[in-house]
Amino acid sequence: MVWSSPCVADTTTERSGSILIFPKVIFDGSRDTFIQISNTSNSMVYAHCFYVNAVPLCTRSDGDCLAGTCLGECVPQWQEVDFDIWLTKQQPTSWAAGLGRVTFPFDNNCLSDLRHPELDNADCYGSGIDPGRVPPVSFPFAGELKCIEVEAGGAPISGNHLKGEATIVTIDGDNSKYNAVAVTGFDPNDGDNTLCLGGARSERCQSGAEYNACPGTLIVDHFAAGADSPLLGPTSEVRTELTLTPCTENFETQESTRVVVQFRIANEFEQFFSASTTVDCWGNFSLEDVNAVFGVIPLGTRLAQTRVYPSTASQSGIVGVMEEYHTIAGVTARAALNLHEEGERTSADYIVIPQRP
Amino acid sequence: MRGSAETGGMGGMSRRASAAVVGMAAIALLAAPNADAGVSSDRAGAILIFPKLVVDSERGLDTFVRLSNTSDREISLLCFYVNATPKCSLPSRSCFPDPDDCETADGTCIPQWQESDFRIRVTARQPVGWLVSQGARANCSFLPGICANDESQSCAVDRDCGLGNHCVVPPCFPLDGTFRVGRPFGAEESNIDSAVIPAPEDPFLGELKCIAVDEGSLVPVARNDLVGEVLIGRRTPEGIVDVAAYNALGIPAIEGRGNRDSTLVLGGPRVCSGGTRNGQPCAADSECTGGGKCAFDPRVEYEGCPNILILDHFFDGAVDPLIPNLCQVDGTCRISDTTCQSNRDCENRCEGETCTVSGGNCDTNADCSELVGQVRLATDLTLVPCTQDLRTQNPSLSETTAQFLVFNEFEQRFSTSRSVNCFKESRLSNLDTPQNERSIFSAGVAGTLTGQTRIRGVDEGAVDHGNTLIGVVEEFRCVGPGFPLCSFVSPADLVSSSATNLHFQGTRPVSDFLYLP
Repeated sequence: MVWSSPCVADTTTERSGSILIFPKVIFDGSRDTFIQISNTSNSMVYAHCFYVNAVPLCTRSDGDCLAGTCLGECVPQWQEVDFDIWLTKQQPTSWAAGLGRVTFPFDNNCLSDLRHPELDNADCYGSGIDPGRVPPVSFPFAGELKCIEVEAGGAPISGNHLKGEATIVTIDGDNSKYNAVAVTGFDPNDGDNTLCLGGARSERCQSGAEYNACPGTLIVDHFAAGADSPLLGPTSEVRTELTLTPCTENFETQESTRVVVQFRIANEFEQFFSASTTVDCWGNFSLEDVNAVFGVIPLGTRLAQTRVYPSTASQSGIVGVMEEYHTIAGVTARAALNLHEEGERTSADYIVIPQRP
Repeated sequence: MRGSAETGGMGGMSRRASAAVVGMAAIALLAAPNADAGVSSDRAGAILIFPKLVVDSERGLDTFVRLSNTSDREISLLCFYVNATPKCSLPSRSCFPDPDDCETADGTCIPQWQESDFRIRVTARQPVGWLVSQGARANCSFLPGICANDESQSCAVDRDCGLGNHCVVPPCFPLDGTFRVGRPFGAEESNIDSAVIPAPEDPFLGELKCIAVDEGSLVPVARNDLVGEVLIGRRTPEGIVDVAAYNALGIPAIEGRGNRDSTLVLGGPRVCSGGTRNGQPCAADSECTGGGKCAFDPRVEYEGCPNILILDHFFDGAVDPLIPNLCQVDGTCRISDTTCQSNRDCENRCEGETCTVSGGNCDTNADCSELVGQVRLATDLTLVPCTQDLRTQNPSLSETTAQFLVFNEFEQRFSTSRSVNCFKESRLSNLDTPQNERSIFSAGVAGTLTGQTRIRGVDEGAVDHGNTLIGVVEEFRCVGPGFPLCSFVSPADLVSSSATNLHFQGTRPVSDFLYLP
C-alpha cells in the first residue's frame, strides 16, 4: 500500500499566502496598474507593502531613460517606498498605482438609484473602508510591489490570508491581468526582520524556513519572437515580455540582488537552445532582447517551451510574470499569464525588511 | 517510446457505486477539510482542464490552445471536447451567441453537454498548439503556407519568402514520424497519430479536458508533465483586435496509485497511515499519534478539487478609473471618438443646449449622462464541475448548487446561489437576476468598486459524485452609458478583455470522479 502526503506548494498564484509579490507594476504615462488585494480570513489582517521602483535614472535632468531620451548616463536604481494596509474580515481593497489611495471616508459610493437614474454614480474609485493611506508611485514607475502579512505591531507572521491581482491598463483601454505570486508562511515564524524563504536552519534563520521556498525552475510556454498569432492571421506578430524579480531582497540596506538567469529553450521539433541574462534587482525584457535565438527564424517554429532558472552561482531564486503583445496592422492586444513552476530551491532566500521603531 | 506500455497505470473503481466508495464517503463525514488543494494552474499535472473555449468564426472569434510536455519523455493524451453550446428548440434558429434569435421566435434554448474525444502525442519538452475552430494534425509538411511579410504570397519554406522573412503554416504537429522525427539519435519520438478534431460546431462554447494516458492501452498514467494555456482572441474586419489568456488547470496524479480502470478518483478523505491510529480519519499529521502520517485514502488517485473558489472582481457596471475619455493629439476623444480640442470637450457636458459627447439636446449638465465616454467593467464567470461522466454522459452526476458569498469593500456581505449543470457561463450580475442593475454584483447595489466572492459547490453527500467546482473568469471593458453587456460574443461596445484564474482554498474529504469511456 502506498500513501501520499498532502502536497506542499512553493510559491503559488492561486492560493492565499503571507507574502504577495506583484512582479510587474507599471505607471509610465501610457499604462497604469490597478492593484487588488483581499483578506481571505475572518479576522483583521495587516500588511506591510513595498513598492520597488527599478526605472533607471538619467544623470541629466532633461532626459528620460524609459523614453530613450537620456543624453547622459542611465543609472540603475532600486528605490523602495513602503506603507501599511489593514483589511477587515474578507475585505477586498484596490487602488491604482499611479493614483494611490487616500483615507477619505466620504468617497462617493457606487450608487444605483432605480427611481432616479440621473443620480446614478458608477464612478466610485476609493469607496469602501480605506485600507490605509497608499502613496501614489513616482512617475515614471516600473518595478514591483511586495506585501508582507504582519501582526498589528508590524512583526511578520505566517497567516496566509492575502491574495491579489494586478491589471495593467493601457491608455487606449487595452488591459492585461495576472494573479499575484503568493508565498505561503510556516510556523514557527520568529517575527524578526529577516524572512527566510525555504532552506534549512542556519545562523541567519535559526528556526529554519519561515516561508515556502521559491521555485527551482519557471516554465514559460510562449510564441517565438516575431511569430504569427494564429488568432489574428499570418501577417500578425507576437512579442513576449518576461518580467523577473529576485526572491532575495534587502529593504533595510537597499543592496541590490543580482541573478544570472539561464534559459533552456525547446522548439516544436524537440530541438534545444540556451541563453542567459542578468537580472539586477528587477528585469523586464522582450525575449528577443535576451538572445536572437528566441526569434521565429532561428527557432524555426511558432511555439517554444523555455525553462528559466537561476544559475547555480546565483544567490537568489526568481519569480515572474509574462505578457504577450499580439500585433497586426499596428494594433496591439496584450495578455498576461502567470508562469508555471517546477521544483523548489534547496537554499534559502532572504527578504530583509527595515527594523521597526 | 512508441508501442511500449507505461507503468503506473491509473484508474479508480470498477463499479461506480461500489462498497469502497460508500466506505470512503463514510470516512468523509468524519474527516475535516484539509488546508491543501491539489488542483493547480501554475504546476504541471496529469489532467489538464481548459474550462472555457469559444469560437465564433463569423465574428472573428477563436481560441488557441497551447499545451506542452515538461518531461524528457514522450507523452500521450486522451482529450475530450465538451460541447456546451446551447441549442434552440426550433431547428432554424440558434441560441449562441445570441439567445434572442431563438427566444423571439418562441423557441427555447436547451443546454447540451456533448463530448467528443481525440488523441494526441507530444514529444519531450515539446510545445504544441491549435486553433479550436480548425483542429490540427501531424501534417505540417503538406500544408500550404503564406509569407508573413506578404499575405498574397504562398510558400512552403522560409526561403520562399525572401531573406529575413518566414513562411507561416496553420497550426499543426510538426513531427510526422516520416519527414520529421524528434531526437534523431534517440528514440525517434514523433506526433504520429495525433489528430485534434475541429470544434464540433461553429459557433462553439465548451471546455477541453486532456488526460495523460498510456499510448497503447489509453489507460491513464500518473505523469504530472502537462501544462497549458488558452488564448481567446478576436480580429474583426474593422481592425479591432483583442486577446485574453489564462492557464489551464492541472490535476496532479498521486504516484503509485490506481487500478488502471477508467474511473478516476479525484481527492477524498485522508486517513492515518501507520501509527496508533492507522486507518482512522485525520486532517493533519498531528492527529496521527504514534508516528503516523495523515495521507489520502489509498483509493484516491489524483489530488482533489478545491473546496472554495475565491474571485476578486470589479462589481459590474463600475467605471474603470484608469481610462478617462481624454482628448488625443489627433483631435478625437479616446473613448467616444468625438472631436475635441481639449480634455474638457471629452466630458459629456451641456454646451449651447447640446451635450458635448452624446450630442443630444440639453438644458443643464444633468441632462447629459456622465457615463457617456467612460469605460465600464463587467465580469463573466465560467464554472465546470469536477465530477463528469464522459462514459454514459449522465448529466445528473455533474449537477451542483453553487453558493456565492459576496463581500464589498465595506465588509458588507451578500449571498446568492445558482445551479451549475455540467457547464455554467454567466455574467456576474446575471447570476442572481436577469436585471443586471438590481444584482448584488452590480456596483450600484454593492456600493464599492471591487469585491471578493467566495464560491462553494454544495456537498450533497452523494457516493458517486462530488460537488466541487473549478472555473475561470473574464473581465470586459465596455464603452457606453448603458449597463455593460459587452463580451467576446457581443463585441459591439467591447474595448478590451482579460482572463484570469480563480484562487482556491482548501480541499474536501469527498471524492470527485471522472468517468471515462
